[in-house]
Amino acid sequence: MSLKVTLFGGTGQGKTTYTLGLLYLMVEGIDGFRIEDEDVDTTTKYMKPWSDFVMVKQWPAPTMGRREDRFKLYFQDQFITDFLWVDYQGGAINQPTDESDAAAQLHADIQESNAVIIIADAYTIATRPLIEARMLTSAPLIFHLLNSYKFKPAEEGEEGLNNGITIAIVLTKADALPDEFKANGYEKLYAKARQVFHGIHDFVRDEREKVSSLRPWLYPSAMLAVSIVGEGNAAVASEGQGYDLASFNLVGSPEPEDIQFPFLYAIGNELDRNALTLEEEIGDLEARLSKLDKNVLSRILRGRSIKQLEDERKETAARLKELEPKIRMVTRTANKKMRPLLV
Amino acid sequence: MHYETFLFTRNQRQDFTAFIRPALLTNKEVSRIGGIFNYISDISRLTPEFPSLYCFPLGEYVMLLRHYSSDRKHAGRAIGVIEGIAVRKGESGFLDILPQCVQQQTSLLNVIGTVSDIEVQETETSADHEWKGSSASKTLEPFVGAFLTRRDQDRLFLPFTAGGRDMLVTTLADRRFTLPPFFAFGTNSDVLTQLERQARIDIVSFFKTDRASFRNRHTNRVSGSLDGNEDDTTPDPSMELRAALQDERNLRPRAPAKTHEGDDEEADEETLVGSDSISIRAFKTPKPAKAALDAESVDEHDENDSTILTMRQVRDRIRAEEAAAKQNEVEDRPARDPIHWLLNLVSSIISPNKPK
Repeated sequence: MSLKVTLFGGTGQGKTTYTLGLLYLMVEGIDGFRIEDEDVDTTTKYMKPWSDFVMVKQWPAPTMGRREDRFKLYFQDQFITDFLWVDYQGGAINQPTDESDAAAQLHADIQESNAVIIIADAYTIATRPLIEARMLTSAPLIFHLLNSYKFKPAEEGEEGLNNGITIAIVLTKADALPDEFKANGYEKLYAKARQVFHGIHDFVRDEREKVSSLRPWLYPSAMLAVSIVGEGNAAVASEGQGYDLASFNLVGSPEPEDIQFPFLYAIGNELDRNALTLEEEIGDLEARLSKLDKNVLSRILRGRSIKQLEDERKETAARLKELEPKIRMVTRTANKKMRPLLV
Repeated sequence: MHYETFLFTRNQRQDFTAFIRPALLTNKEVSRIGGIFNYISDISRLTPEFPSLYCFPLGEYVMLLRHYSSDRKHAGRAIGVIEGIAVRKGESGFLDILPQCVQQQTSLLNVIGTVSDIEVQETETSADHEWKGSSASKTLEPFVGAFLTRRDQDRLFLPFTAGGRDMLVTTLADRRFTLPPFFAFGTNSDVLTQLERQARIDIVSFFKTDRASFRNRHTNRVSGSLDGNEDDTTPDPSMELRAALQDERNLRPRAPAKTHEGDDEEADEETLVGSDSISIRAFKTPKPAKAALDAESVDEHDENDSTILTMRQVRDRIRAEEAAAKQNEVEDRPARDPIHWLLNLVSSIISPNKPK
């Protein structure tokens, strides 16, 4: 079982710094969770710019194009899952596929992804007028991509049970927010983020209200305010205006806060989706068997005995049993911290 | 000789974009360049006066480019510029002008200088230009001759200094070359690995290379120096971030010291984990003293602490709500049924306990 997680968002939202910080934390391990790269050079490549960030107080260079790396997730040294991490330059969202290979790849990646991590600058969301925040975070284009490749095909019946997607929205630069947006556990920030990402929010809401034909649990969505540098370690150097985003100086040593939770949320939910599929398989099989008469049953079995069928059911149940504790470990950690997109 | 120009950078509105591109360069090849230069994480030391310089084939072209940090910034981050000329493969005369282009890169590769305002620049296809300048005079240096005899096994490494660039120009002007040698002057091992997928790179300068030498293509170890000493490597730091890198290494368990004669310290640091010295497992922290992961160790009640439910929890809750609603519907049905309603009415009329 291998999961594909695609990280994307508008330009300058903090994707690269988030990725570097996350890798730094997860390589050494946090809360018992740890990742290992498939190619041993991967970590070194990410660690060099992180080291520059920490030691020289220099923001990492913007990502150009696309990066793809394979990792394994462990909990207390026990293997949980493989995953493919895909990281994009912000501009890939804003370009048509016929003009940019990176854009074409992004579209394909979203189609194939189990989960997406959307990076959005909390400072922009908080301090800019709503419509500007939507433009700068590329929220309409993000919804457009998810709608085109994940929501609409499912509504039109082109996708099966497994083809939902987990959406984790990471609100970066939370340390720099004005106090009013930090109060009551970032209540005001989350409220505005729901407005900024209202396309995704409304999709999830409509689903829950059963307007949609989709199963409402297949699109888990949540968000979290995080800081890669930590409280008080970055100072606003210039306020943004127009396309120019606010810039920050790093004044203290970075101390990442909460950045692992959106990642674990994405992985945990997709593990849960696997379990859900297995459960549905077992349930579906039992339901169909109970409805069939003996003759039809023998045709379906095509030579397999009832015992063989029962063995298959047991095997699936065993896989499910093996998966359960892993799912609980991941979701128990992540879901406590994440905040729902829909309230 | 004909050539086209290219300019890849970003502005405040658009991320990494091919603002000016050669006519036959595909989107995939533009992405390829972005992917290659992603491996340069620090461009702060690269200036228009002293940029990194590269020459390698890509698609229909041979690209001669420079990479440096512009004065512009986006969200506080330095914006890089990748620009230069693209010559169609097979175009004669490129070898003759190559040294001159490197020597006069500030003017000849300065494509952004042709753009009035990058913030309003739209993407465009390069015009076809004809070279009108003269060719550089040819050289015949012994070290180039030495390199040519060992070219199949070794690369020529040059220091990333003004002197190194002069040596690059001298090398490129050598009359014994029949085809342009490909080079990466001011780079790192990751980019070199990427470039090698395009073509064999002959001349290299890492950011911290401070002495000319020959290095084995496969091991990257110094195999000879230009003055004839085979073991003439200095580990003196030349990169401004050396201190930071050393600090980073101090956080990790030290690998056993290498004792091979002729090992290149510089190469080892460039390929830190790529060598066999340190494994990813070295980052591992001690196992937390928590219970091992098993079904029994998971506290079922903890699931209820979560703010957010998992997919199956949501499903189960919704199904439970639906089941409860159905149940209520069944219980309510007699009351809404007209026959039952009539019976209830009659019953209430004749009942001795009817309300007063």
